[in-house]
Amino acid sequence: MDIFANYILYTMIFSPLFAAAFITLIPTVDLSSKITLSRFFAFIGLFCFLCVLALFINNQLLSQYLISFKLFDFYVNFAINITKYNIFLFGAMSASLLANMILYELNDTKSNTHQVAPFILTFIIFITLGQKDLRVALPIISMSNFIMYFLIGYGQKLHRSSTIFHMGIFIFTCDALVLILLQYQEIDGPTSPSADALKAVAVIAGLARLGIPLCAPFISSLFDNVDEAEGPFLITYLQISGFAILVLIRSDLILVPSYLMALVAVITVLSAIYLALAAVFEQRPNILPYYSLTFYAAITASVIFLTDYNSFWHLSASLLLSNIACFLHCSKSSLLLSQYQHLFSLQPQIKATWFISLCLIAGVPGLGIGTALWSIISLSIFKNIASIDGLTGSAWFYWSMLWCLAMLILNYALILSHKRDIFKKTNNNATLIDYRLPANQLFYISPIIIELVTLIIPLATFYVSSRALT
Amino acid sequence: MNNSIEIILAMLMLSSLVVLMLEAIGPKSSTASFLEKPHIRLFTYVVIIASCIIIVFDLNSQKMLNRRPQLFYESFAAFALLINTFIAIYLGKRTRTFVHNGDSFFILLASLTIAIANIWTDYLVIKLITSSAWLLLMAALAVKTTSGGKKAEIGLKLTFSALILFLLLLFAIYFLSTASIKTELVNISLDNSEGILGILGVMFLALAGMSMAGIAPFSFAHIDCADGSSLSTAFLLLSNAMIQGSSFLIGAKSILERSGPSFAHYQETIAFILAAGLLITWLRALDQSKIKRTAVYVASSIGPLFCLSLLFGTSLLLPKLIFMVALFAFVTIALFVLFGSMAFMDPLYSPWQTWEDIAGLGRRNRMPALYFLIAFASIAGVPGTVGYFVKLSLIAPMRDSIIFNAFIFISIAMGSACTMRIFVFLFSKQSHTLVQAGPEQTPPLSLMVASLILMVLGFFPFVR
Repeated sequence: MDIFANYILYTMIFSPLFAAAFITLIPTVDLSSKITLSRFFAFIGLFCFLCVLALFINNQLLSQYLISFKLFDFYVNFAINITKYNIFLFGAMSASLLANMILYELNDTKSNTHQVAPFILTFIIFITLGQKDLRVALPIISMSNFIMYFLIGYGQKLHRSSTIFHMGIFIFTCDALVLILLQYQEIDGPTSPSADALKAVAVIAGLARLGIPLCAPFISSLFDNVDEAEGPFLITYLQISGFAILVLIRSDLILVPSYLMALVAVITVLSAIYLALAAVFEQRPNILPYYSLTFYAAITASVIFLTDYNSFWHLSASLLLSNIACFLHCSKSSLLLSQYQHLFSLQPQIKATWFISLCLIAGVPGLGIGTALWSIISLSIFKNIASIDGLTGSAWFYWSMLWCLAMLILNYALILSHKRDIFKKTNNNATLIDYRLPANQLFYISPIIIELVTLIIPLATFYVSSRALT
Repeated sequence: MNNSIEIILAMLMLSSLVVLMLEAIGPKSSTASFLEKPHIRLFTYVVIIASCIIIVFDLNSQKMLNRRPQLFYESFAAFALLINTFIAIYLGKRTRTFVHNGDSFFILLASLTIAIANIWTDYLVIKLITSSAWLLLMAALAVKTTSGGKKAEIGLKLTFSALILFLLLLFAIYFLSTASIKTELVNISLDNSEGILGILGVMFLALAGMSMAGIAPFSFAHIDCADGSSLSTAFLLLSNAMIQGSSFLIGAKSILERSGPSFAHYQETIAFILAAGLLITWLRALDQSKIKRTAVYVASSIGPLFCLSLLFGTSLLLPKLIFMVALFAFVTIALFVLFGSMAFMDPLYSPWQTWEDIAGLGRRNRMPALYFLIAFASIAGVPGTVGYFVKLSLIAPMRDSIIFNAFIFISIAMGSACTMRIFVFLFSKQSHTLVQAGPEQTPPLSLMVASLILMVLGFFPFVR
């Protein structure tokens, strides 16, 4: 069984790399072969993840997998750690890759880099997620950002250059500061002021990747300047790398220091209000899913730092997975809106699907993201709120009220978005021709699939957590 | 005294004479490029490789090498000087500049001999002569391999820089000999009674080192010269100047160490000046609009970083020997990739000047542009590159000085800004004029390996 686990784990880790190699070998213009191969490898990746999850649940995985080789007089160790903290992040990345390959077809021949970039990024994030030390993980994530900048820079958006310029400087500087403070912590000890500063800066580096506006001043520009087809995967990648950093920090803290709790609570709630307000004024439907993703990412970050050590990982994983599933679906819906806006015969179907997509991200209890969200609220917040009194209780109360306000504003934005005339009027008669099947029929039932997925995710994470605790 | 270096010096002197004779009796070439005169080039290669082999064998026989590699600094430095010269000749094949005369190989070998002598000697008077002579020889080489009207400017500035260096060393010799009646670096030590004179001597020595290494604000001649001359000359000047400059600084530090704990804080002063130099160089690099000048500023930022790491850097995970080798290798590889990729980006059909001229070059001439970016990122110290760990090696030893560490951090931030600026121009913006550029050039495997080293080693946290 150990050998089987080895094979499965290494297949999951290295399959994106093999995919990148094979896709590179296929001529750039042979898109159909590339698509088939991409989907095949993405499916293999998800399948292997499910096997790894099953092995993890049955305690058949080793705590560490080590590849070691000797180079001259040096032993180079390459370790992959699969723990309860990171296993769902592996799943999130595998599922995102498969969803990206199914939802967004390769429809141009920009460059080979564009075709293999999702696999390379997946491989990099797998390697990063397997690390326990921020010193190893952070430089890898940092350098991988260049791939993202390349993809954004290759697009046609007007302000793409300034976007990647600002984003690059901010993220590299944050990462550099974290790594410098890590050196201080090594010398001064884990209870020193430098260690406290390190935690705060590392949290900011993580939140910057999540796109939390107070930590990522470039975020609205980024949303505007990513390509419609490539954007969702890139933003998902950023989110997962951000959560990887946050989870790495949190898994070292049995008790979260109060200053860190306060920092995360303030940053996330203020950012959520800002995002909700920005969504109200957003005219373009294709940007709305990004706001929603970032909004719920802020809640997920709060869950990581404000819930207890034993439950933060599965609660945050549940919310993260649901959020990504709803986001990918909603962003695809918004893309179809712009693609088929001139086809009048399909407008009712598209409009109905768009409405359901909005419902999935609205946080309605039992629907889409709301399934995970309200179960977390009932499990963690309501359970603890009775035991808190005094000043902390007041702060907790006002914080919760601000979150409710932010959610209300976001829902208002979503209603507004649906009420706006999403189909632009055109005078071109040629566009009135009845065109029967431009969209995949599967798309019309995709909200149901997403609803099922979002129902399964909390159950699955809860099951894994109960098995992990026993 | 190191016997192997004496043998190498003798061999190089003899080879210089042979090359001078060969160049004198051969036909006058229309170019000063190292591409011409293949027999002389081959001879030079053989001499350099033979010298390298001698050093490697000598180092291999040393028992103290693993425990105290700093004792063999001269051998490492001489090896690096030889390798840099080899690379300069190799790069010269790509950077042909048309001028009227060429004694390039003689000047090259002569400057190499003088540089090794400069590293090897402990006598300040000999150092004064060799370092000034080396700068003058480099001025001659730069003038010979430069076309156009920049010759006079380059020659004048480097000669002036040599004069400044001469004066600084003269002051250092005067003050040190007054304070301790010795001019041999290994024997000088100060005591408290010698007061300000000894300290002045050491500081002048350190300033001479910074001037020699081309560290801002003590010398901008190196930058002007490297900017104006060919890529191979720029590579040779900057890399070998850094190594020679570091020998002065090591000398200054060793004097302070020998002089007791009361002089220890002057080491921090040297570190502070070097860090300030690093910051100034990056600050200047940020506001340059010309490609080569930006690259030269970035290249010259390696100087203070290399000197700082050599003097103060530590790594708990790497043995001292490997750390020292890594520092020398970083200088050579980073500069090789930077100037080598520029040589392959250099379009033969449409010459460029400013960043705007090559906007979008990364889309057409991908590999050289990518290598160029890697070199840039590594020198800037972007996390995930070797350069970052070289900078990180300074944090722990200098942890008490918040300002010093702030300087290092700001240099990384400015380096990131500079790297992102280059990235945007190469891979994001598009220029309409660039369409006329020639076909994509394939860089050699050596450039690819070197740039991979700069990046891949950055994923191993060998500095803690």
